[in-house]
Parts: sequence; structure tokens; C-alpha cells
Amino acid sequence: MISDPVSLLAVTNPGLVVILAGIVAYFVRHRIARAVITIGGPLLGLLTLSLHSAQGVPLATMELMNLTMVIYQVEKVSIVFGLAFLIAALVNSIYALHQKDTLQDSMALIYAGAAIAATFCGDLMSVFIFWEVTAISSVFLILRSGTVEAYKASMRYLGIQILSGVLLLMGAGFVQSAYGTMEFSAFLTDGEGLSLTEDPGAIFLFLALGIKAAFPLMHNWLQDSYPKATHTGSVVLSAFTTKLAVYALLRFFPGEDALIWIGAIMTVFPVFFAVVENDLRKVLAYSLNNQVGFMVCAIGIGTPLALNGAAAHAFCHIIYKGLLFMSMGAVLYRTGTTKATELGGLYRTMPITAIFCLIGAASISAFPLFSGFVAKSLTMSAVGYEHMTVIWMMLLFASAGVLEHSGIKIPYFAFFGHDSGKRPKEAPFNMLLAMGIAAFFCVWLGFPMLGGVDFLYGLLPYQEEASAYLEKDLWTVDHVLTQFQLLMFAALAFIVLNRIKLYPPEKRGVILDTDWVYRRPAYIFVVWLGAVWNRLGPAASDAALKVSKRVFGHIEATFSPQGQLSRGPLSTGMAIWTSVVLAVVMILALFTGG
Amino acid sequence: MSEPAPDEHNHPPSMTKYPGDAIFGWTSSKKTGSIVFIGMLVVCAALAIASFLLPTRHEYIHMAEFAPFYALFGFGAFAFVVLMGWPLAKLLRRPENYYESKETDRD
Repeated sequence: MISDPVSLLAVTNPGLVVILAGIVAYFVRHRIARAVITIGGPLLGLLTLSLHSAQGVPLATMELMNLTMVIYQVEKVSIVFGLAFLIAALVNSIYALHQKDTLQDSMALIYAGAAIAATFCGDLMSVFIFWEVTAISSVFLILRSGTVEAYKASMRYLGIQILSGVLLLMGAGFVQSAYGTMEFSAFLTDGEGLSLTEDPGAIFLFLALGIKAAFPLMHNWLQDSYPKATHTGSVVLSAFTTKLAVYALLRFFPGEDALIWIGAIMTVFPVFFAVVENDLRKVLAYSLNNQVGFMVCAIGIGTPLALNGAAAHAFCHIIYKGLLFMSMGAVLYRTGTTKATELGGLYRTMPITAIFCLIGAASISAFPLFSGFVAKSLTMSAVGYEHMTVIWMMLLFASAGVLEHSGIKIPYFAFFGHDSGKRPKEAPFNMLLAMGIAAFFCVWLGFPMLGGVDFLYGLLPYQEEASAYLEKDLWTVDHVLTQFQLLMFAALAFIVLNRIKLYPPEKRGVILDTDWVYRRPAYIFVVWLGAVWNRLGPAASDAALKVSKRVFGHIEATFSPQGQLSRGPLSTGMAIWTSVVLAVVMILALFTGG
Repeated sequence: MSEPAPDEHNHPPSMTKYPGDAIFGWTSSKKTGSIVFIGMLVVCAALAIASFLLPTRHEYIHMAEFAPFYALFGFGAFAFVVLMGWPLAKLLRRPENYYESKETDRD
């Protein structure tokens, strides 16, 4: 029994501290007391992380149904993600201080805490539990918008997230049967992950992570739900889910070749959707997809430099993407919209928000002296060193695309461009403070003489490669110059196309994406089935009743306390088949739930 | 819970001074477009010339050793993305109530 608080914190997963703060926050109605808890939770989490006593060994374990759950284990790479998540949780809490919604405050912290906890787990079952907590808690951030569209999107979101969890559980079941344990130490050796072709169940884990990371064709839950979340909710959502998946990919599948192409495609295709999208928060959601693509591609490359790149990119991305979502959240809070067609000229009364947005835009575009540059350069160089010309060209193309949608479109259409005539107040002080902190990180992490670059590179999992890159490659004249060339000539293209009126005008409307498949053809099919069913009339109902009675009889004979399944021991295979049935039900519910 | 009531004030463009004018007011000037355009041309020309003056770069991707490669690629990629917006908008854009019109029937 540990009685000393410092010793206790040294073996406590920081995520659990944040989750506890979230639970307490729900019951505290006094605003100042709740503010102390929502800010104090992440701060205590940071303190807890700083006190961890060792790396690479289980610090806290738990036995559950013959499973050893490693609920706290610190690794180099988990520190990068955990620290970024804790900073994001802290900044998000400050950003939401003006809000009087206890449920949202609570769920935002529980969601953040679960993501943090998952990065410091040492076994698949613990990851699965926190994975599901992130899914369930985050859905409230969409629901609380209170609109019918948000409700429908939140249900679609929940279904897809739970499906990801079910696939993760299936993969975990296979790992358990193959290795006799779910502990990472059994199946992840140093720098080596799972193999899609050789490890049983790896494909299920891969698909589970692919859904959460929003791989191409699995991505649309992100663009469907994030823009419909509350103005604070989308900020919180932008930080955790996809980056938790990136963390898991980095741990389980480093060097997996399939990820190279998946990541490269992820960087390119959202660029085209973003250019025609009118809702600026949706543009940011596509941009998020594009940025995660860089990380996924780097994980696929799998060299120490590339894995450093994925980790550094995730760290910086969590902050600058949060900053961009915060600036659009402030615009939404003050004007009631983030549609480009309804905005413009807001710099007049929201100049500080505009400055912060521009800093976020410069960072995501990877302008030298901003955080995106020091992070993305690692990945670009790693791809170049492997002589992967086509992949490198795709990433370079996507880099120019980032400048279009996040570097120029977001600030231009919201704060500059045509004057919408809107004169809202500047964002509340707490929002400005949160944006200021994030903007500080964007500059500090990217500016060479401030110590931030050394701090970031000092966090990375492969220190030797990080130090060598920092000393020899990052700040060379030709590297900085070529990056400026790429971005400034791309910006010149924007000016030229705008002047000759070839830049497509923003128009109201929805842009069709992969969700069309389950929102239109699948919907029509279900409606058709219903119509056919009605035509068949009572005879069909009677037959269905008889069939369902027989099925129920079989189910009862199998699953009841006296049934067949109760007579033998619970096997992994049964758990897997239960998962399959649940997955099928979830898919059906998804299609029929609109 | 719905979003907080928007604190919105619509005003026609006027000569009123706003806090942001001190920092960004220049962006609304009629001459700004031309000045920025010329400024960008000068900056881009300087960057292009600088790439020729630098010693030959050793790139791991061969085509990137061509001095103005990044400049041409940046301009071309950006222009391609933007110009693709025209056909894509025609192909993919639907009225705002495209999904709602069908889904509402089921509520």
C-alpha cells in the first residue's frame, strides 16, 4: 500500500488523473470551482507524468479474469503523444472556461483522459477499454450542439467508433490466442511491430486503427461529425482520436509497407475536397485528414528518422490544428456560422483571433520558423532518403495543397476577403488566452533560438537520428530556401488565379463524399425493403413470427443459464464470434440509423 | 443544448474605425491587391535567382536538383488544385438540404 502521494503519483497513469477530474467536474456546479478542476486535472496529469519512476517497464498492473492488464507503462514514444495530449487538454479547458455546460466540460476531460491513459498502457485490453471510453465520451461533444443534424451525425460517429473498438477487440483476441497474453512486451520487440501477413488478427487491429486514423474510404466520419460539434467540442475532438490511432499505428505497425501508400493517398485526396468545401470547420477536418496522412506515411517508411517525423508531426499538429479549430470556434461563437459564403472582413473587430489564426496557418503550412516546418521536414527527408520519388512528389504536392486550404483559405475567407458586414466582438478573454498559449507553442517549437526545437527533438524516440538531423540538415540554407520557394510560389499562384478570377467562388451546398454511399443508396435500399415488407402483408408477418420463435428457442437453448454455452469454459473463439455478431449488428444499425 | 446566441452585428461597410484597422486596415485598400502582387513577384524572383546562385544541391530525389524545381512545383501544384475545384464543384456539390430532404421522412 502506497501512502506517500509522490510515490503514488509515480505509478499512476496521468490519464486516470484527468478522467477523475472529468468525473468530479460533472458534479461541481460552481463555475470557479469547476474551472479549478478542469484546469487542475491536466496540470496534475503533467505533474504525474513528470514523476514517473521508470521507462519501458510496467509501473502499475491489474489482474482481470486471468488477464494481466498493464495500466501504466511509460515509453519514449508515449511521452511525446501523452505530453501533447496533456497540453491540449489544458489549453482546451482554458478555451472552454466561458461555457456553462457541465456535461461537456466533464466529457471533454474524460475523453482527453482516456486518450492519455491509452498512450500509457502496456496491453491491448487496457487500450481497448480506453479506446471505447474515448468513443463514448466524445460523442457528447457533437450531441451538445443540439441540432438534428448533430444528433444524426453523432449516432453515425458512435456506430463507426464502436465498430473500430469491436475490431480492436477481435484483433486482441487473436493476439491473446497466439501469444497467450495481450501485453505489448510479448508481441512488440524493440522497433518491430506486428506483421499484417504473418501475425494472426493483425488485420483486425489494422482496420480498427485505420477507422480511427480515418484512412481513405474510412475517413468520412471525421468530416461528417467534427464540423457539427459545438464550438469548443470540435477543438477537443481535433486533438485526440486520430492522433491516438497514429500513436497505436506507430507502436503496432512501424515499417508496414501498406501504410506508405495509404498515408500518401491520405495527404492528397482531402486537398481536392477542401478546395470546394464551404464550411471552414469542414475544410479543417479535411486538412486534419491530410496531416494525419503525413504521419501514417512516415510510420510506413519505418526508419528511425521517419518515426521521429511521425511523432514530431503529431506533437506539433495537435497544437496548431487545435489553434486553427479554436480560431474557427471563436468565429462560430461570435457570428453563429463558419460558412465561407457568410464570412469575411472579421479582422476589423476580431484582430487578435485573426493573428492567432494566421500563426496556426503559417505553422500548418510549414513556413520556416514555425512548428510545422521542423516536424514535417523529418518526414519529407526520410522519404527522400529512401528514394521513393512518387511518394515524395505526392507529399510535396500535398504540402502545396495544405497552403491552399489551411494556410490561405481559412484565414482569407474568415478574416479578410470580401467584407461580410459582420462586426462581432473579439473572442472572450479565455479563448484568446488559450489561442495565445497554442500560438506561443507554434512559434517556440519552430524558432531556432528559443529552445523549442531542441525540446521537441529531445523528446523524439530515436535521439541519435534526431540530433544528427538537427545539426546537419534542418537549418541548411538550401532546405530553408527550397521550402520558401515552394510556399511563396504557391502563394503567388493564389494571387494570380484570384486576379484573373479563376479561383472557384465559394458557394453554399454540401459536398458529396463517401458518406453518400450509406446515406443515399443504402438508405434507399432499406426504404425499399420496408415497402416490400409492407406489401407482403400479414402472411409474411405470420411466417416471420414463426421463424423468430424458432430462432429464439435455439438462442435460449444455447445462451440461457442452462444452455450449451454455460456447460463449457469460455473460449477466445466464442468471444471473437460474439464480436463478429456485434460488428454485423453495428453495421446494420449504421445503415438503418441514417 | 444549443450553441450560444450569436453575438452578431451586421453593418454595411462604412468609414467607422475598428480595432483591427491599425494592424490589417491596409488589406482593404484598393491598391493593396496590386502592391501585394508586385511584392510577391519580386520576392519570388529573388528566391528563384537565389536557387541558381547556390552551389548544386545534393538531393536524394534527382529531379529536385533542378534549381527552380520547388518554385515550379509549388506554383503548378497549387494552380492544379485550385483549377480542379471547378469540375469537382460541378460533380460533387449539391443543395444544402440534399440529405435532409430524404432523411426527414423517417424522423
